[in-house]
Amino acid sequence: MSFNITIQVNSSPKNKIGKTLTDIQTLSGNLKDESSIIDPIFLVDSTITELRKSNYCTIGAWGRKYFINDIKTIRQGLIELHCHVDVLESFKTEIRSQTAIIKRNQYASNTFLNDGYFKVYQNPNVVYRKFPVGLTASELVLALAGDF
Amino acid sequence: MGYVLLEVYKSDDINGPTVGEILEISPDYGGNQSGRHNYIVAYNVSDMKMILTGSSSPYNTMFAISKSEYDRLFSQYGANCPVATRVATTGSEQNISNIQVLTLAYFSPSPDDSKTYVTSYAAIFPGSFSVREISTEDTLNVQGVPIYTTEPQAQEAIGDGTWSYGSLHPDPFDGAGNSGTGGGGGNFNYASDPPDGARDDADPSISVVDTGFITLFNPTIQELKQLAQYLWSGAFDLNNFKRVVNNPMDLIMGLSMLPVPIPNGQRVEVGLGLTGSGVYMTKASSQWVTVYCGSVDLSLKDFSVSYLDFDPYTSVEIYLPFIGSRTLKADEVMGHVIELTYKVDILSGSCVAWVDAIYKNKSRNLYAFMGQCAQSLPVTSGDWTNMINGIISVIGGAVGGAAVGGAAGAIAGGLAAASSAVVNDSKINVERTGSIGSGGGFRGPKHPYVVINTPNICKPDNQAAYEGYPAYFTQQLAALSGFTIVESVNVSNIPATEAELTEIKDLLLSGVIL
Repeated sequence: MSFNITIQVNSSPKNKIGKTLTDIQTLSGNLKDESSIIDPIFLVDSTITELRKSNYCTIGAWGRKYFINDIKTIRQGLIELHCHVDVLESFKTEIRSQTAIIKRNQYASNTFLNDGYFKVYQNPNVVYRKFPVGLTASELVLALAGDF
Repeated sequence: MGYVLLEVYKSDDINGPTVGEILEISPDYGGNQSGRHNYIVAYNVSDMKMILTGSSSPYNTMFAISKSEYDRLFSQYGANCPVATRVATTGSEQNISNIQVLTLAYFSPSPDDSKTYVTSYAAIFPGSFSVREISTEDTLNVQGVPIYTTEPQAQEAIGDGTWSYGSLHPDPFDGAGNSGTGGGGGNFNYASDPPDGARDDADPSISVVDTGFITLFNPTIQELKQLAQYLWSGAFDLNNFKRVVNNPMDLIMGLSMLPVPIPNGQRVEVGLGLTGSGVYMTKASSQWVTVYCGSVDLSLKDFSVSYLDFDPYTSVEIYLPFIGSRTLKADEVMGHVIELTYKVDILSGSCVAWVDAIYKNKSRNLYAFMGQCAQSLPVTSGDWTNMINGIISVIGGAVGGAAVGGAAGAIAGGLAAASSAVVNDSKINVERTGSIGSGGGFRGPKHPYVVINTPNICKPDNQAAYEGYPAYFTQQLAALSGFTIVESVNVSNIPATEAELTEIKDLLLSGVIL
């Protein structure tokens, strides 16, 4: 059974949710025998030359997106696409709807929490703060016996 | 016999073998099986044979024996060996791969033969083991009724041939009490008692100047000279003084110099003994003097506004005139306005420096350091000697001006291993001053100050985009952006395969860009 495979270029980091994808072409392909939905191997009519820039693909029928890990030539005009599911992009709507306890974030943080990522120089800041009033008087006190 | 009865329960967790021994072997009574059961207490879990004397009879006795003992008994008793006999006639041998619990019992039938009673029991073993039949993968049935006794007594056995097993490990902490839940339910009421800063603290209501025995004057240098001249002049009649004291100098309790303003009272003629001197001086109106030295703002806005502004990363010391340097806890003073007040007793020269912090607009005393701020001025040879000795003793106590100690101790567990903490702890602590008492106080710094030693952060560009900053709150991921690491999340409601769910969770825990 053949299905449409949208060949794309991903220019975003692999761990990004909401990737920037550029479509190259849509091919009709088949699944190689004994492939899994997580690590499928697709057979498409194409050449390495045509697909040399592609690193991503979408299988709309499966609702999943894939990283293209390898492109192999079977014979002239027949290509194997070795893929691995991009779970972040395939389920990005569901992932974003999750509530979690956040450990670190780029923009929302609490700097009063201990953090082992910070490094400090060996020379610390030494800050000197002076009180405005000192004990600067020089007064004499004479204690005499008796009441005057 | 003094057997210690085993309490045995089924154990599903089969652990490694334990060491056992044969404790008793009963004689073979022979004849009718009923009422005549042999038991052998032994175990060697690595080499055990379970011998069943029958599969369904309620009178069956089940026991295990090590192979070496089996061989020994067989060689000793030969055909009369109860084990050998059982095996030879009715027993079916089962290999047991592991034995954790073993108990043996001696059964006797009831008179009507409808029940079986346990009339004696096997001895106790160290260790624990359970029994499982390898051939059928069945675990032997279990009854959980504990049986403890030290002498034979009749108990109703399980009619279907089931056994109860238990752990043979003695619990060294038995009797320590059972664990359970606890804690929580606090009100989180962190309210403090009313403020008690230096300025809320009243001086003592009684002063030495009120007693009539001593009068304190605040003379000028010129007035002192006049008094001295009077003492050494012809106007001074020694005969009059002999009526009051032996030595007129005994009337002079002391002369000292203090670094604080003296509260002035009346101006009166100074008399010695019964005679006026013609010298006028101003009396001190009170023995107690308070000097407010002002405040220092340790607002975090001047620092990093982060955990690095507190212990153990930041250290704070305060220099107090006539006292010396003292350490303050950064956790208590950073982020607050610090006030300093000296409370002085001008009679003795003792002083107490109150270090207060402003919490929620209220002054609260945190520290009180004691010192000596009066420089005694000798008026007699005895005074001179005492003064010098006093200075020497203070200097002797201040010898510890060398570097002292190193780290205050390893960073407590739980704290992130910030390099700053390692830095602070690996550096030696040095005393800035020794004990600065009255002898040297007037030659020391007169203005108090605070020294804050705080980390110098090394921050690469765009660090947050690569590592994020620390957070610990619950939030929907859609409300966040940028690099994010999740501490804890439940993704089981996402319609993905198990492997995909695992990968999703792993990625969220290792860091994603939202």
